[in-house]
Amino acid sequence: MIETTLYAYIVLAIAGGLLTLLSSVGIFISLIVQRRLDRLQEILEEFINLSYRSEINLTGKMHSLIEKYQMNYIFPHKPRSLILSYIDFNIFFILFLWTITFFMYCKPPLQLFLLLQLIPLIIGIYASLFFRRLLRNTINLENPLLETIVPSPARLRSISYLSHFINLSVESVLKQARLSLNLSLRSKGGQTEASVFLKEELSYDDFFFYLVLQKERPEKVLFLACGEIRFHFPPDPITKKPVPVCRNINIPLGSFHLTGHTENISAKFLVFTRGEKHPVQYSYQLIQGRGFLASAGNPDIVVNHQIVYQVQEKKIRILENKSSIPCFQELSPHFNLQGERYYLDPSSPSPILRTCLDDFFID
Amino acid sequence: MRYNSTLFVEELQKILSQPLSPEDHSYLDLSAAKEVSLDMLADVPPADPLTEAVGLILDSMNHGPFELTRLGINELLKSYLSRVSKENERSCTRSYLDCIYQLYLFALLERYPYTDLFWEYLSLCFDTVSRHLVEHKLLVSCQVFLSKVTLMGKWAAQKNLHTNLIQHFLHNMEIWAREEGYLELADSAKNHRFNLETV
Repeated sequence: MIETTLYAYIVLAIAGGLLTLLSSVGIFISLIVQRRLDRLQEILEEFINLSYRSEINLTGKMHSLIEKYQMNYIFPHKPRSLILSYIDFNIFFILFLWTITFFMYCKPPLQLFLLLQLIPLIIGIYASLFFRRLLRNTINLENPLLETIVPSPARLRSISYLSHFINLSVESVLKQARLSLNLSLRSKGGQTEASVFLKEELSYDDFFFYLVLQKERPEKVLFLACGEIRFHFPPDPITKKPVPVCRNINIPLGSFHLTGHTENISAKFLVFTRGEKHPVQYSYQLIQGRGFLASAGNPDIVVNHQIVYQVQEKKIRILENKSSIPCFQELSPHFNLQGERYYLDPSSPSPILRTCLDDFFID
Repeated sequence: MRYNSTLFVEELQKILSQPLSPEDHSYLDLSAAKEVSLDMLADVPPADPLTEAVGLILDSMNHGPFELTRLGINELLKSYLSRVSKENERSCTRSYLDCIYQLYLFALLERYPYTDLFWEYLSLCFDTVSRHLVEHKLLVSCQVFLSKVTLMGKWAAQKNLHTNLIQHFLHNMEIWAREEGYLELADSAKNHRFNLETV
């Protein structure tokens, strides 16, 4: 039998000891997290540095850097759950001890003064729960608290995110993504139906595009498309590994009826990102293959300084040189970042704007 | 005179028109021989036109304009296309691709200035050659060709050279093979394309 007054001291001493242990766990966590942040920022910096060397092929290197980033980003599951359960147990036990000591000396009836006496306990409970949340957030980097300091790996494939870095050239990052056009031709009842695909060697997303396919001599617009490209890659269903970035991705942009010969077809592809004011322009020359039309060689990639745009509330406003974008009037209501892709076939008897619902695929 | 392209091609054609050295010649190769017979030690290998041709092209790569190298590769591949047939496809493809591979390795040297041009030209040639192979149903050569070219492509990717032409070639190969009904070849081309740039 221990004396009641003494027992309360013992309980409080145990609670204090546990609290010290908990704070040392906090230091331990902060050490680990700091090291991880260092690693992640190093990789991020290396990634940004790559963009200065646009003339050589760095696609493989960028891919492996994003994967490396992903590897450092996730904390191994087992130690994480162990630490989390330790923290939870510790905090709830401390709270339990505090409450017990309080009620040991609490004598009815309930008065207003008792409520005032309760205030330290309430503040203590609130502070410990807040501390718990803080620790949990630091261990799981996927939270809004740290997102601004350490971007999630999926952010590294977002052109809009990357374009926020002042010294990063969007053009050279896009060069490594190797965007190309591919039209697969299918004959149907005497007519040729062409499905347009955008191929990306490395799946960069989060940008707005505008595409026009034109025939030269006589000049004629064959196909128009615009919209936002955004991917969601769920973790691999079999291995359960996260997928920050994919290779060889095909994005369907729509289809149209192709009439006449397939020579001298050129394409203009504009990329609008959130952090810039001039779009990146791709010029493709399409060549005929067996059953397909594909862009030949390296496309001409330039930043089009003639066009100025601004993104306002998910809407893209062209400020200068609207006339250099064919059929801008028809498409302008759809120049917004809603994750939808639209296309228009001007040669069809009744040209209407359609939404492309086909999902992207890897091939 | 020294850098005359007509004379260069003529000389190359003259060399390449000689018959290839037969496979079962009696020259003793210690790396391949299981046992050594002492009376064969003094034998000499038959003259090989390919070695001579490669030497000539390497000379042009060492101190000639790129045009000569380009013509040299072109002639080498043309001679391959004229020689390859159902009977000799494996050995013929191997020996010619070994030559191309040697030239390619030389082109990867740090001091060789035309690496990009060389690789681009080679990639474009591969496209046409493989198309010919698929159309003439030379399946074994296609397989040999595919694996060797992918090997070169992997090297190129590691050296930060552009591989989109090779990707294009592999994609074309896949489509042609699928059209002709060679599904195994098509799958292998696709697999090679996916693995091209995995470092």
